[in-house]
Amino acid sequence: MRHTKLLLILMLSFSLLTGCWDKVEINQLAIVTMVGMDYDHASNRYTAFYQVINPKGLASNKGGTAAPLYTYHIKRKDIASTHLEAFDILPRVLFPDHIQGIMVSQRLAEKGLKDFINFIERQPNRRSNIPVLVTSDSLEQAMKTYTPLESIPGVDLRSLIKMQSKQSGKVSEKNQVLDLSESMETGSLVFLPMIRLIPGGNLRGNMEGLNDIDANQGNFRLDGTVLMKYGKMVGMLNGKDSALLHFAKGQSTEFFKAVHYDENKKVVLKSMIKPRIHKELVMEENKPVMKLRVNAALQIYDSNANVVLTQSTLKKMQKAFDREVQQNLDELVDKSKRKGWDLFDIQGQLKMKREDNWKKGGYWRKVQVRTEVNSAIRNVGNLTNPYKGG
Amino acid sequence: MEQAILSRWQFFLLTFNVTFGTAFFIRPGGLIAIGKQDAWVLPLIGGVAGLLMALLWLGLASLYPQKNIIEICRESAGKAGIFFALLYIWYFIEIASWVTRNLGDFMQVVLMPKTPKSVFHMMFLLVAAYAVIKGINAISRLSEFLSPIMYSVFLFVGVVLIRDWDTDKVKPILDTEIWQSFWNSNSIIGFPFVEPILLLMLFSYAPNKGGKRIFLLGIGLTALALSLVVFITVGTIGITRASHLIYPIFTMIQEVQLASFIEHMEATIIIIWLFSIFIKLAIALYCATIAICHLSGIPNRTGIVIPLSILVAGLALTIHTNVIETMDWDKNYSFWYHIVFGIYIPAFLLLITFVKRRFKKNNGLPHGKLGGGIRNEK
Amino acid sequence: MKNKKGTEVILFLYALGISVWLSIFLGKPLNPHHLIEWMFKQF
Repeated sequence: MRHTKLLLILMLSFSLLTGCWDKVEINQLAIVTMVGMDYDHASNRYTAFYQVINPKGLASNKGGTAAPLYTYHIKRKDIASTHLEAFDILPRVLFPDHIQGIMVSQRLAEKGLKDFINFIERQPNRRSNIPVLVTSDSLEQAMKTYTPLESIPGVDLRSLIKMQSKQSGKVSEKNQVLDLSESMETGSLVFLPMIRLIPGGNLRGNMEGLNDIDANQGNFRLDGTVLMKYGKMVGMLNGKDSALLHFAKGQSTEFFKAVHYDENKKVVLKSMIKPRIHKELVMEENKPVMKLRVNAALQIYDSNANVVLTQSTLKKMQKAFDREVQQNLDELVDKSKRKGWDLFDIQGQLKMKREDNWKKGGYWRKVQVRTEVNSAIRNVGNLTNPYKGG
Repeated sequence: MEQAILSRWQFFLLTFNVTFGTAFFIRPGGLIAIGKQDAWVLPLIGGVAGLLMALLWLGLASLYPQKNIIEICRESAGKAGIFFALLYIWYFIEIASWVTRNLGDFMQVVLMPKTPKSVFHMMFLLVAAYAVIKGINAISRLSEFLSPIMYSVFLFVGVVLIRDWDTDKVKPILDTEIWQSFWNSNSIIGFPFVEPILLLMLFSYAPNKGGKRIFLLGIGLTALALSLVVFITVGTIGITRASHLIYPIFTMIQEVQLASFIEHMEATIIIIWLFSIFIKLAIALYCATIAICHLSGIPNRTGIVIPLSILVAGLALTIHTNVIETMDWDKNYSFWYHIVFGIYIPAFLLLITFVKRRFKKNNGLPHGKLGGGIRNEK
Repeated sequence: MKNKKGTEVILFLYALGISVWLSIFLGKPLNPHHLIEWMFKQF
């Protein structure tokens, strides 16, 4: 009896071995840190790039002999087979769980990322909270660039984007795959960071370039944002405009603005915290209007004028800031109207209205945006009055 | 049959786990796809319907104190009652298979794509069968032990999700055609709100005082909790994605990032999910087993539960081929199928009982008009 | 008498379980829902 029990327990413990079906040997994994996707109209083919970590290269960073990662690329007719046929050249299992970023070429973005997004979202082992970047330069070149300071380009770009979106607002913080898929049915705009390669100098295709002290050469640079609607690229904003836009949307903490408040008197003001934004949709004289009010707290960052700061100069500075920012915003509103971009997410505001007449398709184009900026200087920095000099 | 009295807390947890247990994971996606930003109202309406049904069952049960549904079937409908009893046994087996299959589907879709489903099924059924052999006390103590862990982890995850919360996503509140969407998602009445009928097998173990109130409380709280889960899901990952993903809650938690180094929190939710599946499976299997025991008069659960587990493991594989088929079934038939067990049969039994008792009463009275005296005797 | 009935029930359950598994191995899974769907369609 006891033997039977023992035997039974032994047999039952074999069932624990069923975990072996899905076991993964860490040495057999090709850990992907960044994926690139390109599309060639001429040959009607997708090219996928996989940046795979080389554990040895990461470990022996001091010696600096082995590369920290390698880039593989596969050119196929559809997205799924670029993944499947990666096994033709990869000696390991593709492991996409820890992707840091996805870079797509501008031509693919213009064609539309719908299929690619659907592919990613369908795979349970691919998370969707990873940033998507667009490059207007050669994707191949970009995927074969080593970055200084952060040896893994995916990590480098991800933290670059994160810092910029938090601080300067030059890129939006909503730049991930999930934001794209969220917008697939709402039609609101998604702002993806645009990456360019700094021209001149040799791009760091091999490790030797990394010994150069000039980190500017052959490196990545953030250059404005790409506007995506329904997963398709519809336009581009430069860094200045997108910083202003994300400031006016209350997303960025740091926004710099140089304003002239008197003749030849210039001051650089910086917003200290995220501005408070108030949006309201109203009917004015039978015309739909969206009122956008921005309340900002400012700090004096730099001032060239040799003046004693008084209450009245501060007032002047604030006024000048309000005026100029509002003017720039109005220009941006005009631009968005001209180009048919819903930069200020009027559609999102319309969606929240209860009355049906607000919800007609394309109604947002009729909505006028009226901006208003109110700022207050709360901090003057460490100097009350500048040093006079000779 | 075994002798046991559950405490009120244990009985509450059993009710809550049966009702809320697997629904919180499976339901939200479909509800959001139909109800949009107001999907959180649907579980509340479903809960009201569930409470009404529960009142019906309780009414039936109160006519036969200390009897379970199988005994009620036999006593009220006599020979025909065996047919209803068999139907209920089938229903319990089906719930057990469903729960088992939910486990397999989930594990295969998100966690271990290469492992065959039946492996998960069999391993869970093995332990569940063991729990059934050990009896209702073991199961309820297990749920008493696991539930605090489950729900505190759940709360923790909920708190973490506040970071991603966006109030704009749930606005405008109550702006959709709610009754229309409720009708489109009527399957929520079937699953999860008919399933607590399982507990009708356990009423003889219920605490002497307040057992019925606790049962209703469990169902009511399920409605609230389900509504909360849906609300959080809409507010964090938004309508578009929630209505396209199969397991939005899993995705939502997969994408939580705490301070850039705490990632991949899905392990926590998988554990909750496995616990809740296990408890529900054990209860369903137990109910099916003792239902068969009662009907056939076999006192020994072990003999029944082993072939039953084999059957459930098989049915779990054949019950549908993939998740899409479940969704179709859910949309087209689920409601009508479940209310057979939730409303039609209980109502019919109730009717029979009333008629029978009235008939008996009349028969028992020689002169026909002295009902009061008889009633006093009773 | 009672015992015999019990054995019959248990044997019946085994038979049911095994037939479901056989149907899987033979490649024609018995899906009870198809029967239920068919019944609903009759109404």
